[in-house]
Amino acid sequence: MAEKKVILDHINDEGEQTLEVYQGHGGYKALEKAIKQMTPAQILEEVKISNLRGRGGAGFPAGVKWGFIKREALGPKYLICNADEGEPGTFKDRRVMTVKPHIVIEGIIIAAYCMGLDAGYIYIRGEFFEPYQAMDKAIDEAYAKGYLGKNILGSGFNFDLYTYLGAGAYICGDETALMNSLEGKRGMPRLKPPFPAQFGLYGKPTTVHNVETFSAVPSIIANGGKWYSDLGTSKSGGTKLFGISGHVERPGVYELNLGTPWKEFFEDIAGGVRGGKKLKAVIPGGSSTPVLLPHELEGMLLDYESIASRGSMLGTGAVIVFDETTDMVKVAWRAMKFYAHESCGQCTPCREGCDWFYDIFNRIYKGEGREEDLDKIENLSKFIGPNTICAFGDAFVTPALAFIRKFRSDFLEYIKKGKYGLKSGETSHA
Amino acid sequence: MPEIIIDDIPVQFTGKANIIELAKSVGVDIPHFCYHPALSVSGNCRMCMVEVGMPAKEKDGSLSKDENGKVKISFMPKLQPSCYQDPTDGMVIRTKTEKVIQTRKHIMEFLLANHPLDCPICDQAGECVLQDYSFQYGFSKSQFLDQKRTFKKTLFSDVITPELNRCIHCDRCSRFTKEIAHDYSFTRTWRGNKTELSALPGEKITHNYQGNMVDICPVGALTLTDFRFKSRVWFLKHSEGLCTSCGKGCNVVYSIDKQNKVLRIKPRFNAAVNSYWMCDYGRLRYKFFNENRKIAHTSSGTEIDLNTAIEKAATMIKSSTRIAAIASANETLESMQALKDFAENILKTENIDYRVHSSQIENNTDIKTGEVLLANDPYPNSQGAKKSGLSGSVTALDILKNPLQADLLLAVLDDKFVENPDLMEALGKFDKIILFSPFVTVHDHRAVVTFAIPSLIEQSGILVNINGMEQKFQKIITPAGEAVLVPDIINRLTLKISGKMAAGTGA
Amino acid sequence: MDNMTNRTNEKTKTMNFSFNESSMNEFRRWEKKFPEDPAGRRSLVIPALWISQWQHGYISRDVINYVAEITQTEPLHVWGVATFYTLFKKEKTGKFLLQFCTNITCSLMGGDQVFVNTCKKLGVKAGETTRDGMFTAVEVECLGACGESPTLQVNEKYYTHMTDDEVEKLVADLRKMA
Ligand SMILES: Cc1cc2nc3c(=O)[nH]c(=O)nc-3n(C[C@H](O)[C@H](O)[C@H](O)COP(=O)(O)O)c2cc1C
Ligand code: SF4
Ligand code: SF4
Ligand code: FES
Ligand code: FES
Repeated sequence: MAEKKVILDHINDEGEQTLEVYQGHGGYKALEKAIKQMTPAQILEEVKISNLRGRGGAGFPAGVKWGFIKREALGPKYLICNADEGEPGTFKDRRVMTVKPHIVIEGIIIAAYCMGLDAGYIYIRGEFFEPYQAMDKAIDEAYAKGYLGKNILGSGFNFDLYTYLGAGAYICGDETALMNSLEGKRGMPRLKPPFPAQFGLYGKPTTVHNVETFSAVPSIIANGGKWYSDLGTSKSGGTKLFGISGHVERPGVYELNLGTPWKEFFEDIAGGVRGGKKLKAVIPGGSSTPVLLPHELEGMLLDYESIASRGSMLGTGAVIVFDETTDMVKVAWRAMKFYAHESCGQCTPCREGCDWFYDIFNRIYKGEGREEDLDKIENLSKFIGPNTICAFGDAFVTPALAFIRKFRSDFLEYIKKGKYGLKSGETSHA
Repeated sequence: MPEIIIDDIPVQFTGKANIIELAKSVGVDIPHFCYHPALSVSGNCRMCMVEVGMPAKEKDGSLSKDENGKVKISFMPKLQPSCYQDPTDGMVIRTKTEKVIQTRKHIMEFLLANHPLDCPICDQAGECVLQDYSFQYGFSKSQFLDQKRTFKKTLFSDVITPELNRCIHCDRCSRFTKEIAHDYSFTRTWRGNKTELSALPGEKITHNYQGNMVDICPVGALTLTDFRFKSRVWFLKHSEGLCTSCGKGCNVVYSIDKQNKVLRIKPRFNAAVNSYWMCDYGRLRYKFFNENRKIAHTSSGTEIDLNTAIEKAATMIKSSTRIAAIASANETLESMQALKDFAENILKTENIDYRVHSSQIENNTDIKTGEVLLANDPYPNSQGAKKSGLSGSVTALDILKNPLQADLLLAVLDDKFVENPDLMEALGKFDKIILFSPFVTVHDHRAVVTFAIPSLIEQSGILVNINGMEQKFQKIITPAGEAVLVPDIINRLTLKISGKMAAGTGA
Repeated sequence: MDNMTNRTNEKTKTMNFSFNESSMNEFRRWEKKFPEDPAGRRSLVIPALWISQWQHGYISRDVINYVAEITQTEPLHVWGVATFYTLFKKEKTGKFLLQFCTNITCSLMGGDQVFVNTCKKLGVKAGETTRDGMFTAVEVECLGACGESPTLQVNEKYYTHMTDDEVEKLVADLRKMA
């Protein structure tokens, strides 16, 4: 097996970000087909058959999510494209938006048509100024062509699409925090229920998907749900973008059929560990997914189930590779520093917990750790994830546990010797 | 009626109910910090987590039962916040399982992680929910060894002294500001563990209800500047009463020290009047109860006993022909009725009235613009005075403007009258005056008699608020010095002058 | 970036802030994106803060008041929002804000060291601005460009595969440009 370019098709072609070139490669054909030849029910059926699952991290089946929206319900209904891409290690959505913005737009319009939505927002993280400009330009082109706005392709269907620019808050990747942010508020996750399908943006029914999820839709319509599903495994349909980084020979974004063997991807496609070094560990799906050891990677397939069976998650498909020289205590320390900085701070176990975790990891890393610190983490962990308002609690607890369990001896060594870590003044980390 | 079962106790409910309240109604206490019955549910503290189950169903929709025929309950894998979880018919709540207790313990541990251990110097001690729960859940000291969070001290209020290092981020204070005070001057700022409750940089909270933020703060993060370090709450006596600073009649609790001084007023729940709240004006105005108290009757400034005072007053009344009287809307209904009878039967004057403030003259029963509770009428019993027939053909204000029309003026004074220089000056224009006053006044030295009377917390009675609601209250402290109730003085005067007891009093 | 923000109370300055023409045009463009009701108006808070920051360099007290006015919200709401988001600068920075990613991948690839070395060379601590007002160096979280790490963002623009030498060259170029 090799790369399978569905979303990334023609991505390196000159001008692919323009409507003209995109269309030259068959772009917007799926939209025309959906609108002119298919009913919303037929589109929904194809998406269900396609087995497309959300690419934002949780892997919820897209067809089921679309089914939650009551098409005939009165009042405005919204679509949100989640382009907050903040999970450390993840850089796929930025690439798609910058070089192939029209595939995102086409997917969005088809989804909106299927669910009868009125307007959509692409929530782009504030750092992504360049992708934001690329998306804006592409949206203007799509309006000019009549793919957006009133009476799209003469169908009587109206749909408006806008970009929105975040302002630096990882937590706004959570769909309910994102909606609060879009409403001009502090980006704090909402209590659930109600869920976005009933009470979303401005309290109206709303569907949220990741950039990549929408980008998969045109090919599903063009080639059929079954075609897409068959690319992957029986449970994980289609292709997935993997962004691999760290100590790897050929870092970058790759598109693979779900179910591709890890070994093939890592060694053949990405070129294995950089500089011929030995592999120490891999984070398979972004910093919130538990780290895996080389022996756990044996026989692993790149799909939701196979990675889950190894106690981790496919997550965002953000693979971070660590070679034998890596100081895993430092990696864990840096990850916890991130979470302590990004908690929204509304609920007790997370606000106090992630800071407490960081304090402990920081102490250990600075050579001031105590034996009982690791037990403390284990003990506190049990009471964070299940009691938080949003999934951020789990997002920092599960990787923290994996680090201290799988690299226990590294941590103990730090604690015992107490002399590694930062010499004072070496960096500004505080 | 839908029913849920809380720790094996069935509880029925109607409409939108709250599990914490339902539990309370059957004696089950679910600990909580952020939930407050008068505020929107925020669900952030996670202290109120409970087990929630529903009757399990078979595939065909029938209830699934165990071998004894009992309906099986399937519990949600995660605990749910009982402040937020809507009860539905058949739901089963467990609040005392090991899982719940362990979770509470650890939520406490998280909260104490950054909480300073300064209870010995904290004003909230004795009234602190966090402290109560930490005893209950067995925390004597935090196991948190790392640096505790500290905030720079900023002064965002004239009423509140902040101690934000003690804040547990329950957000009650900012929800109160927005939802109850309808003000946007205090909110959450920054993010995460650095989240700080704050006003705009360099600015202060503007509303008149800040004391309530102190009351609802479950810890000592917001302290009442006025009460700081004054006394440990457990040394004080707490008694129910009414606020007397305006016509709204907020229900309150007076805290009294061993010297019978009022040290604090806090609101007391009354759904029909003030909910859980009171205004800062009323809260902080209590000092008049303690100061300048008239503890002896006087004649031309000289202390005299009650009998002599009665004699002097009676003689003066008998020898006067054009008597006018000023009633006080700061008296009880009982006192007002006695005064009204006295004027009619003994003084034989229609020149009696209570209206010294424009709101009384206009019979204005509205809340001040921009306020939630504070009424335009600064008197606690104007409606009672009106009801007692104490409005004469001219207002008290007009009586005061015409000193030459009366050869004797009887005036019942109160804190607002004494504090009002215009009224006091007008009073000075009268040649002969008999005063009834809880306070020493500048006219005592020239008054025929000044009777010492109790303040409103030194007597029992009824006040009628701006909405026409009669509220009974009980004496909180014994009257200062020689002070005697107005009706008692009037009875004695009546007897003295007419040889008969006043109407309505027993033989 | 929190450590670069000064939390002491800044007295309301007499100088007023308002959008210049191009900012106003940009704001008008954003206005069309949201429903024409108070909730839609509130959605303009973050865009208005952005536009203000592009024009004024940072979020001053005047900006807070102005944004509240044009979005029909309260200044305190705007302040609560502005402080929630890292990218809103609550205080002036240098002309070029050097944002070094030091998250997992970038640190693996030496980005944290490049940050430290740059600070040394510029003679500033994290969050500080060089005396000439040109550069402020801060450490930021993953910029979503890990495949080309270490990553540096200067104002809006990304620079990838950063080494000490690359940064030195870039700093020199930026100096010339200014
Ligand atoms: C802390 C947190 C951060 C998240 N960040 C992102 C993100 O950056 N991008 C994203 O698409 N989804 C993110 N999610 C998931 C979203 O809440 C949501 O599930 C997703 O956007 C749905 O899209 P999908 O169905 O395409 O997966 C995050 C969730 C949490 C709890
Ligand atoms: S879990 Fe953390 S990020 Fe999520 S709502 Fe609670 S405090 Fe905010
Ligand atoms: S100051 Fe008090 S009421 Fe306000 S959030 Fe903190 S603990 Fe809660
Ligand atoms: S009382 Fe705070 S979460 Fe329920
Ligand atoms: S870790 Fe630096 S860009 Fe992702």
